[in-house]
Amino acid sequence: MQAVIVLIGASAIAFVLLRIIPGDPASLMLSENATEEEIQQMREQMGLNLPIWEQYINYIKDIVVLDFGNSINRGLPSMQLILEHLPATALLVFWAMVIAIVIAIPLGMYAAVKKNSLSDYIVSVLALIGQSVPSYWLGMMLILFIAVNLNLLPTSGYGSWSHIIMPAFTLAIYQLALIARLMRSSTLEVLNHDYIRTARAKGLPEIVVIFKHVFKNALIPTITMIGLQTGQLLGGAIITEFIFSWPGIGFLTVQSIQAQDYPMIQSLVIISAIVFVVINLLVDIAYAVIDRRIVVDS
Amino acid sequence: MMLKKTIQASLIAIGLILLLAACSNSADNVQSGGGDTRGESKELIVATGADPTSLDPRKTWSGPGYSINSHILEPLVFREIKDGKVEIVGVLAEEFENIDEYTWKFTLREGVTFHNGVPLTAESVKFTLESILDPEFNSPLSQWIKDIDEIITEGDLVLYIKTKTPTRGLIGGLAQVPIVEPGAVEELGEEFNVKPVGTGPYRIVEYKPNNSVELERFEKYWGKPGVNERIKFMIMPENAVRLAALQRGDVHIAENIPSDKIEEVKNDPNLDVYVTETLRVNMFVNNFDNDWMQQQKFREALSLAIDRELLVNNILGGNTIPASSVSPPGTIGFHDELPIYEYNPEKAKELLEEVGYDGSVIKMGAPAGRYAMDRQIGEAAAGMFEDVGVNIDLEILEFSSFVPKTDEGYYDIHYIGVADLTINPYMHWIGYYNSENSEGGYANPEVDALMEQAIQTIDDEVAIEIFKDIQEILYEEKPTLPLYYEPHMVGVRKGVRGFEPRLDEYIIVRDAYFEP
Repeated sequence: MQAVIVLIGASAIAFVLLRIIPGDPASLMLSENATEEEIQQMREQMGLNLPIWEQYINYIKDIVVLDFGNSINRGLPSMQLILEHLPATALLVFWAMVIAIVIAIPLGMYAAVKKNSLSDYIVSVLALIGQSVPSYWLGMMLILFIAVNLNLLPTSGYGSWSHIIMPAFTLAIYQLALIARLMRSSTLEVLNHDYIRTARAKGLPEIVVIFKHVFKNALIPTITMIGLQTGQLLGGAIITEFIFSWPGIGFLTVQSIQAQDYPMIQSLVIISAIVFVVINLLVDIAYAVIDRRIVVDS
Repeated sequence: MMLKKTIQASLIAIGLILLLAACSNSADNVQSGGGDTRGESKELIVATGADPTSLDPRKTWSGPGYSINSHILEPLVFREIKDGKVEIVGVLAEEFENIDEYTWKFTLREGVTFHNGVPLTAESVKFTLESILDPEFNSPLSQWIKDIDEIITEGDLVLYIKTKTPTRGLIGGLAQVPIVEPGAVEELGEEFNVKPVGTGPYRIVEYKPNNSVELERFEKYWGKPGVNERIKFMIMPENAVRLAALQRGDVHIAENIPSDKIEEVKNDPNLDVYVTETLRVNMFVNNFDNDWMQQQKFREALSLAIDRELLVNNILGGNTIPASSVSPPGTIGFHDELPIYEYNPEKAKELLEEVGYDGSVIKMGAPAGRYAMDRQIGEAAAGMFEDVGVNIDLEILEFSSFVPKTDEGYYDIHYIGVADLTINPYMHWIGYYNSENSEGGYANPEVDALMEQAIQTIDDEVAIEIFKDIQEILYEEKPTLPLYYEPHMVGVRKGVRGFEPRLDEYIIVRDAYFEP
């Protein structure tokens, strides 16, 4: 039920916002030479001359029968286009998340265990830099340094796995830093708990304490964050995909906004909302798997 | 100690990853014909700045779409550059003639077949034109041929097109209309957007939206066959990345190199750059709703305030020429005797004083990211206006948000680039200088009458004189302030041969090839 409300809300907001911001797909499609009369004619054919509430009712009527409208820009069904672009984004987000998790979790735990040591400071500074670096800048630097100067990876595009390294890393860097910082603080918190002291007092080797007792408990807040951040990655993918000419949802979004392709943008918003809802659901399920008490509580 | 080990381990890991990447990458180059090893693959790769969005030529409205489509489909007639002038020559039409002032006769080439084996006939042409004119179909191309009244076919190869008014513009408009195969349109339905069937020297292999368009040579092409076996257009919207891909050798040709990078490209031993001015006039449009703008002396003052040479040389790197007319060179009737618009800030100040300008705010608009260095040009010009004492309120918007504001007349003065691909200047004049349609509200019955006369004049010599008269009036009255002609900059790898940049900004590479 909540999910349905989220979807209706997201679609309504997107619908209204699109029509409030200055912009007109009709005049963009015609050349600069088009007369006002021609633009008006094009507008009528697109159904944009109707009052906004009437447009919205038509839109909802169509959605109920799962007709999300055709892209103005491409003339193809918007959902078909999204489904065509979705695998590329999923691939990118997946690898970005893998990079972020694989590097960030051990790094964060290591920093916590070595609290206030030089390596802790280095990790903290790197994490701060990682969170502050704009992905646009990082992407360009990677292209110039790794692709052009060192000639190691292709500049951009989609196809082989060598194409995925730079965009995935660019997309991952913010999450990586965030997860590392969170993992560090939650590990520190867990390390102060009584049961850790007990475990140590029992004479368990430190490695067992860390991996068996600390790791699992420190992971819970991190998993929430990873779940939410996976949704955020979709947003981050917009810039990354644009720079790396990666044919995913983000690229499609930029292009649709530039062309003021209303049906396309509306469908993209709905899909993003669905993805968020599903991810939140998965996060809830993941909790239950890690910590059985959560099921009992709820 | 521990830290040292960690750093060592990290460095080793990074090294391994890069090594692996390098190995995989070189393998990649050989397979796909990428990098510098590409010469033997007979594939030419072009980086283009935007996705064509649809390859159905009747729906395409982006520059890259036009460029890609010109390899797959062909119009009846097309533009050719001869001695710096654009002329219209027959492509699918072997002959075309003006029978009377309302009728054109076209005789199609014999033996032309579409990529699906169906022969080209007059019916295919009729179908294409009628589908574009169908209001339901909503084609952006309809504006070029809306004057068509009736299309009559005679046998397989002859076609008569009747117009509603006596018009010289039809031929120029038809150059914008590639002919499609009616059977394929019907059979493929929406798929025709990604698998167009035409008569061009290349046929579509695959169009991956927002990624690439791959073409292969059509062996049964009626004319001179394409040089490359395959052509691939890579879609790379980011300027710097397109340039990086060219520098690395991922692509052979990259369109729209930013002006501020031209020197870098020129200094790169592996690259060449082609620079040409185009059929696009970049100008300020004055909005006559503003009382000051209605005064010719005020408009004159604004024009005198702009240092066009400085804009061209400093911001556009000298890659084009300052404007001297509302028409671009190359178009029919271009008035080549008019001097470049004068720059004289002192005179501008005097004129402002003369009209009693009181410092009222002049709202100015410019787009960002649509034309070469458009934001910078807008900012520089605003500064020049302010230097002579005009109180400017400048707004710079992304193009899709900017255009509607210009349409609704929000700005007192705005920057725009207008191209006349039909090579008959009145097509782009109508939107700015004809009293019924003029965007800024300029109205001059004399200009209206002259344009009306020119449009109905079939004889080129007579039409040219009328076009020149119109340019003289507009030069004097300044409803718009032409600045320069949009430069088109294309970067290529050294070793690319047979590439010709075009005034119409199309990238046509059917005769271009790469020799490492």
